[in-house]
Amino acid sequence: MDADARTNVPVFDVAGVKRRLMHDDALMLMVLQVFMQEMPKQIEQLKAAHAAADMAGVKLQAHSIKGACGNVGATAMQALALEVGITAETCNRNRLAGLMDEIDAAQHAVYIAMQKIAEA
Amino acid sequence: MRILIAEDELISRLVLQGILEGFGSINTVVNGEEAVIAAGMALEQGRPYDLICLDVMMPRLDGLEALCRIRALEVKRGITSSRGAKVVMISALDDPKKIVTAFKGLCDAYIIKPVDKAELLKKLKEIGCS
Ligand SMILES: [Mg+2]
Repeated sequence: MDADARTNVPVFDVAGVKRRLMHDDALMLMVLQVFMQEMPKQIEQLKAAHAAADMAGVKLQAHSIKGACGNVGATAMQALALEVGITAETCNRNRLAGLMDEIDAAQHAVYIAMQKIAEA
Repeated sequence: MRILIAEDELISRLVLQGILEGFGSINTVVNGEEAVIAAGMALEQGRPYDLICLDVMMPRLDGLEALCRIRALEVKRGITSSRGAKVVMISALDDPKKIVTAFKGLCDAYIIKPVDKAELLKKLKEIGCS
C-alpha cells in the first residue's frame, strides 16, 4: 500500500474493535492496555532484526505486530506492518529503512488515540 | 468444557481467552509443539480437550502440523475425529487459505483474524460447542 492509499486508513478504528468484541468494553480496555504496554518491545525487536539484516526475523516480527494491530483496530499501523513484511520479502533495503521510521510515527499516533479511549 | 488455545501472538491470545472465558476452563500455549504436548497429556489423563483453537502461523510447529499430530494422537487412542476435540483453526488473511481448506477434513471450523466474537460464537454453536 502506498502513502496515498494509507491516508484513507483510520489510525484507530475503535468502532470496529467494539463491534468485533460485541461491546465487551472491559475486554477491549484490557487489550488496549496490554497493547500499549507491549508494542514498544515488539517494535524494538523489529528494529533489532532490521539492524541485523535478519529478514526472516523482520518478517516474523512484522507478522506478529500486524496481528496485534488488527485486534485493537490500529489499522494504519497494521497496514504498515503488512508492508514491512512484504518489503522484507523483496529485500528492498531503502524502503524498509523508511518504514522503520513510519512505524514509529504510526505507533505514536495510535497511542494518542487509544489513550483518549482508555482514560475516558 | 475444557479448552486449549494455541496462539503465539499475545493480543490475539488475550482476545480469544476473553471471548471463551465463560465456556469452561482454559489452557493457553504459544506454539504448535506445546499444543501437541498439552493435547497429548490431556488425552493421557483421560480428560481430553473439548475445544482446541489453533492459530495457523506459529513458531516451532505451525497449526496445521499440530492439528495432524493431535488427530494422530486421538486415532492412536481409538478416537475418530468426529468424536475427538472440536478444532477451530484461526488464520490470518495472508495465510494460505487453500491449505486450511485442504485440512478441513481434520478441523471443524476456521475463522479469519482479527477474531470477531459474534462469528466465533456462531461457529462454536454450529459445531456443538456452546
Ligand atoms: Mg501466529
